Amino acid sequence: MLSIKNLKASVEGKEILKGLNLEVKAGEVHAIMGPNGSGKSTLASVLSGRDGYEVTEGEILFEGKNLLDMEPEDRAREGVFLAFQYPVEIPGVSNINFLKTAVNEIRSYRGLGPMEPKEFLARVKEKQKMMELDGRLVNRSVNEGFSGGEKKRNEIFQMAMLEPKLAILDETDSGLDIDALRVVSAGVNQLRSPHNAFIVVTHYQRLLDYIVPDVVHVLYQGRIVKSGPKELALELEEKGYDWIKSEPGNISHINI
Amino acid sequence: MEIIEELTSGEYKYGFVTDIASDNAPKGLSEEIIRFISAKKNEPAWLLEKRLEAYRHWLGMSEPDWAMVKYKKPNFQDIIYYAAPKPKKQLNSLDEVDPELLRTFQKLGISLEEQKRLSGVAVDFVMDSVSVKTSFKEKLAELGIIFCSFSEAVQEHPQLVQKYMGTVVPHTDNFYAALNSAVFTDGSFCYIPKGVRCPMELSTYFRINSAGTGQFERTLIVADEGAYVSYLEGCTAPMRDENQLHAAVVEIVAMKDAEVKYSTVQNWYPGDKDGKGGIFNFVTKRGICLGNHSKISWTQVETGSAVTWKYPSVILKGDNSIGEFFSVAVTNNHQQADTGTKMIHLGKNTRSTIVSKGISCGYSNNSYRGLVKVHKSAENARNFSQCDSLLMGDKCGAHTFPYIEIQNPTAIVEHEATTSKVGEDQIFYCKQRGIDNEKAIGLIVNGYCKDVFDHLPMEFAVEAQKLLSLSLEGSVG
Amino acid sequence: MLMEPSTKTDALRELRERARLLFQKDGLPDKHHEEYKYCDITRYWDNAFAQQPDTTAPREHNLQALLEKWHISPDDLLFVFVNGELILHPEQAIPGIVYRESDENSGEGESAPGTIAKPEEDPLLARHYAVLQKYFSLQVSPKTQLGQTLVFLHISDVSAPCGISLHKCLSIGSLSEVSVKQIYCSTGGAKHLVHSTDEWNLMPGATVHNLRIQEETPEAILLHHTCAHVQTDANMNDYLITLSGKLVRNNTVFQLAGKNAQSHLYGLYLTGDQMLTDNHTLVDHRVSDCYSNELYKGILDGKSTAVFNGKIFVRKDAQKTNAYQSNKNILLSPQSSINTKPQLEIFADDVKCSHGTSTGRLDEAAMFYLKSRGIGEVQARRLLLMAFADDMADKIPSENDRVMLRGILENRLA
Repeated sequence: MLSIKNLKASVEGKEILKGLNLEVKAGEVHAIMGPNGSGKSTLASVLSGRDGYEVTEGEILFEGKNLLDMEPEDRAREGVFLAFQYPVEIPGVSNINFLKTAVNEIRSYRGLGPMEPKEFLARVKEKQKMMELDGRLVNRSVNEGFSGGEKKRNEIFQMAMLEPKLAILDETDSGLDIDALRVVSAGVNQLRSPHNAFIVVTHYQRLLDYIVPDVVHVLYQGRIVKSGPKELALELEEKGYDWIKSEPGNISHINI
Repeated sequence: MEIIEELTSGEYKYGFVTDIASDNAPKGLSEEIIRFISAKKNEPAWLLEKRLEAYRHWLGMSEPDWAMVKYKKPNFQDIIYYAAPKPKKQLNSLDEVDPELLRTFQKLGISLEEQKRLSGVAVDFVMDSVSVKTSFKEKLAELGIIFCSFSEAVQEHPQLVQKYMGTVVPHTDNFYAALNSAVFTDGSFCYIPKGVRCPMELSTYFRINSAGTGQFERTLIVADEGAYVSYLEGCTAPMRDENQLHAAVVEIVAMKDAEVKYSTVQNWYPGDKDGKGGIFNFVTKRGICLGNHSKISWTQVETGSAVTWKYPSVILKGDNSIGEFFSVAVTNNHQQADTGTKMIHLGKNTRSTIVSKGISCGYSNNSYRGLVKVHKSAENARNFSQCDSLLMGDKCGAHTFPYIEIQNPTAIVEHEATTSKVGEDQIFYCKQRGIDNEKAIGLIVNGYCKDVFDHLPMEFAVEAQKLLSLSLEGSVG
Repeated sequence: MLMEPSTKTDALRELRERARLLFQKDGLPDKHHEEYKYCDITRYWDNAFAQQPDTTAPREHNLQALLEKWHISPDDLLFVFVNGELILHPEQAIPGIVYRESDENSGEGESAPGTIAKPEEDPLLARHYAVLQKYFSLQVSPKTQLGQTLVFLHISDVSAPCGISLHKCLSIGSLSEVSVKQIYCSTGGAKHLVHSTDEWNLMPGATVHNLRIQEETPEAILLHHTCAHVQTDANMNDYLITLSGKLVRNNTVFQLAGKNAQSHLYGLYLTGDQMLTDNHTLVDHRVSDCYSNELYKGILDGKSTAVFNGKIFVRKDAQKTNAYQSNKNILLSPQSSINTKPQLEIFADDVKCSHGTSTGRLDEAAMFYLKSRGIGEVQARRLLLMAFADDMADKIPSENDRVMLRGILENRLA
């Protein structure tokens, strides 16, 4: 589904990603872990097409199409979803209006007409229940006045509504208490299917107790320096990232 | 940013000319012209006297230049002060209306039939200062509500007109008010009797059609004790290379416990993308909360005109009276707007709220200018003002000039203003959800204006949103 | 140390002539002048202001009392001006600092007057230069970290109506940092005018802390222009305390002229009796990436009137500007009034600018809360007013000055 080859990217002239390789197949959940400054959020930003990130080398293919050639909205319409680490507030624009616009824009891209209001509302109701999201939040302005946990749940709620093929969760666990973490993870798990894939970017192993990955990658200094089964996360938790830092020669790739 | 390029190419969709022969006065202004207008309208002597008095006063005044707008001052001898569309005979049903005029309604998207059927809005249509048709009159008459053209009111209800006209905006008020008082040709009149809640929204559409004409209409709304009315005003004008002058006066009187809600969607022709042509919109709008517990609320969406100079105001004379001003002003290309409000607190426990949202694009300049004055007599006055400006593009300007004068220590007055641009992070967030640039900006800007749109009657709010998206979008071609 | 006079020039004479013509043309501003709408200078003017002050020498014990009152210590570098005459300055040379007084016969110093605050910009500035006979200039060398505070004590002590002129040109070298404390006070009872202008030039990376305290007699009029040209990475901090006078008008203009320049303006005005105080500030963002912040607070009593007129001006291309402004007032008496006009004029789009103003009484809920804890009306009021004023007082960097100011506030608000 996603194939990243030798990706190099820089921000303000400083190279952050230094030759990153990653293959994600449908039905898989990949966790990307790494210390602060290793390039985790840069990867999420480059995948979604945020301004200010310059790709200097390498390629990203999404279902065979060159993702780097696409505008951010076209990437979204192709089925790439980013759950933001810091969801943005848009005053005066209600969540529901925002979602309706997004759903119909994506449908129109795929040659479909607007969704029937009745169907749309039914789905909103269903997904909102799944995310244990207060019904009133849906009518409030996008993320405005939401608590940290509500914002993150709202991200997953939007994901549920938009049904992406590839979802990137950028530090979705940061700032969540244990209950919110449980709800968010349950939401993600319900959305897992053989047809979609997830990239879970996180600093801590905690989230991976709930969203169990098929493979864990360690990102360090702009490269994936170690990949392994889910147990790798536990090992990292136990030994810390210094363990990786101390064996710079230890670069291996595991393909599953 | 490419949007900026796109924004500057917005086109005016209402720029058609209705082909109806006008019955014009000769160009220029003199006592003779004023007598001509007055005679043409078969006016009583007192009104002619009022006009002449205003004219003589006007001769001694000079055009104000304190607003943050630059324009070539109109040549007042080069304007046609009276242009009535033919036929002028009283019309009783839509069938009698000139089909050309009906097409005008349709192009404006305000077909009377539609309006009648869908919303029960009573419409008074003023073209080139002459009222063409007032619908629903009979229905309103049953409740004792008078809603008619100003000329008709002069004929039918002279005592009411004489009693209130010029009491809120005297002809000495300012240059354009004086000019209007001398040469006004028509407008709307509305009287809601004691205790009556007007069951439908009253609506007037103004349109400047003839070339070389100025539009000088006058609106007078009187809400008697305990009355309520919601009044809508819309404006359009055809595309012309020359600048045309619109100098209107609106007066509102609210008695004890009365409430008047006045909503405007102003979409006069703004000139082309190089700043050629367009309407000079120099308007004096003022209401007085005369009785205790009365309320006047102004809501305006200003997207048109080459130059706008307009400060819908409220004099809060009655104790516990309330004044409100909600405004969205969009300027694009070379448009200039200097608009805001004055809230004059005289009575005890008076309250006022000001919410102003300015959006500047292209090479335009958009200023908020407002006055909050708390007089010594205004115990426990309260005001809250919020003035936000949004800049789109680096060639435009956004300015805020609030004047706050407080002479009573019991007052609580708060003013906040911000200036910013549409957040790049907001646009990216929308894009990541599959929404393109143009739609994203439309969403964000409409969201930014929500506090004001919320105060518009439903069907007007929809029109306002469309208009806003249009002036941002047309552009995004 | 005092500088040697440089070559003789006519620059001051020319400036005076230029200003005289302007003043002749425009005259004193009255209420029809937008910037003097609430401060009609003609109503306060007296022809006697054209008179020179009599040259009374200050009494020694008088000076000592003032030093104590204003917490001026022997460590400070003290300059005393009496009726516009520099009568006392540090005896020792100060490393990194040169200063001098100049008149038209002694030629100009390093920085010529009229270059930062131009007579064309304001009718009162035109009047100021039209009568200016001499000026004081001070230069701080680059990379000077002055440990001591420069104190300018301006005393007016006049027995007959007159006008006093003061002009200072202060040039702060690159990467230097100075703290300045300026006192404007009068001891004599006669009606008089103090017309003072400070022109600051902050070289790249310079930092200035400028504390100004104004305590004039109810007969005195103080017109004070402070103009600063703030270059790249420089930081101008102004702390202005206005305590009394018949009319105190401050025109504070900061030009942010180099990238990453910053300005902070803090003001506190306590007015009473018939006083009129008018604070006009203009922060002129001339280039991109600058930051400005402003907080002015006022407590109004008696029959006094205060005016606040703050403008943030963002020029075309001054992108990435951050500018904030806030003005808060408390009206204590039924006869006091406030006119405030915070303005934004913005010609660049990538900016974050905001202003806010609020005026009201003391918070009744807070008063009630304090009373319910057994604190009496007077004490509760004092506590709340102190808290209101402290917001600004806290910004003053020197502990010594904060203590001094709190002392003054305790007295005034008791």
